[in-house]
Amino acid sequence: MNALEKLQILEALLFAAPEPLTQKRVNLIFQKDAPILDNSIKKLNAHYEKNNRPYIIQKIAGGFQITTLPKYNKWIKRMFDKSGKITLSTAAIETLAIVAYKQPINRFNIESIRGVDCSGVIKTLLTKI
Amino acid sequence: MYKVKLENFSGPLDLLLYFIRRDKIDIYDIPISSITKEYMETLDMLENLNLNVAGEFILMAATLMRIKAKMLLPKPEFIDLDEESDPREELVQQLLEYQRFKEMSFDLKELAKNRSYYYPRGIKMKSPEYEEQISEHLKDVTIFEIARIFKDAMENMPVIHAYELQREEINLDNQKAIILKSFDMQGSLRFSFLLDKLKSKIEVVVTFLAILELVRMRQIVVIQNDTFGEMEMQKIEAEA
Repeated sequence: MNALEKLQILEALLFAAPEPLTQKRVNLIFQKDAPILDNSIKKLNAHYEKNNRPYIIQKIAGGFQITTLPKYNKWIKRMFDKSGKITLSTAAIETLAIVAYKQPINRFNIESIRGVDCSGVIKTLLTKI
Repeated sequence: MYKVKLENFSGPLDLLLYFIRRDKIDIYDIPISSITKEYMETLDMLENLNLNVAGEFILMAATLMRIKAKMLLPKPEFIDLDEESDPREELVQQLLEYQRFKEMSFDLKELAKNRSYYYPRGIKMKSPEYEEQISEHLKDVTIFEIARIFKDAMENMPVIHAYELQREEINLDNQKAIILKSFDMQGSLRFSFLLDKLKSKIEVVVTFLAILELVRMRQIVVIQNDTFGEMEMQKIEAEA
């Protein structure tokens, strides 16, 4: 398997992956001589850019995910007919920030930082993630 | 009527930080007396709007008054090292920590916004979760504003003399029909325009319920551009 083939396999994996693709996952899939994700993604992105493809592969949640470029936002939004994206309230984002920087943390400690009851917010966050 | 701009405070700490930012107060040297006064006035205002002030806000009021009382007490002659600390210390630490996360939450929001322009594969065309999000249609309107507008509506009711009273048949479905008929050609309707047509208290109440019901049924959207500004309703076009 040469370098180009490996790159093609990676691209196919990224295309089909339902969630961000991690190096760990790639190692398991290739079994041996797995390509280094960081380097391969750089090559793929350079290729997309050079050929004016509408995609970019992004690092997210410890893995990589293929996404569309921001300039297509307008069109994709129309396809989804209003924004189908999850929006979070101020309270929810505050709570999320506390969890992100303090985890592991329990409800009591979140509440003592925010100074308000957070049970409702936490429940909403759990259903959205 | 109210001079203070009420934002949608996410809690008592948020409210205190708002005062601190607005008045450019040094967080390490909070003028407890004036901030307590201001805090209490805001709580009164919420109560005037017939909102139940949440327990957390009352707890903070008690904390502020306790600090104020402690600061008024004369310092003991024999200074015990443990007792020497500033009574405000604990609150300041709490405010600083909350402020830190508040700022981080702005960063998170910014990150989320930037990311939202990139679409991964596999977004559902219409997720059932989204269907549930009625709050989407009320996202720029806070509970304070709805309560205040309702209160204004009640206060601006014309005084009707006893002999003018007559039995009126008001029901939710009728009011809904009236609201839907009142939209102009562009499919929008100002709340004040609707109010002018209402005569009795019960009519205002039922119309208010009808608006909320229409929002719930996703037939209209309520938009408000400025805090305490005019509420405007938009008809949601039937999907083609």
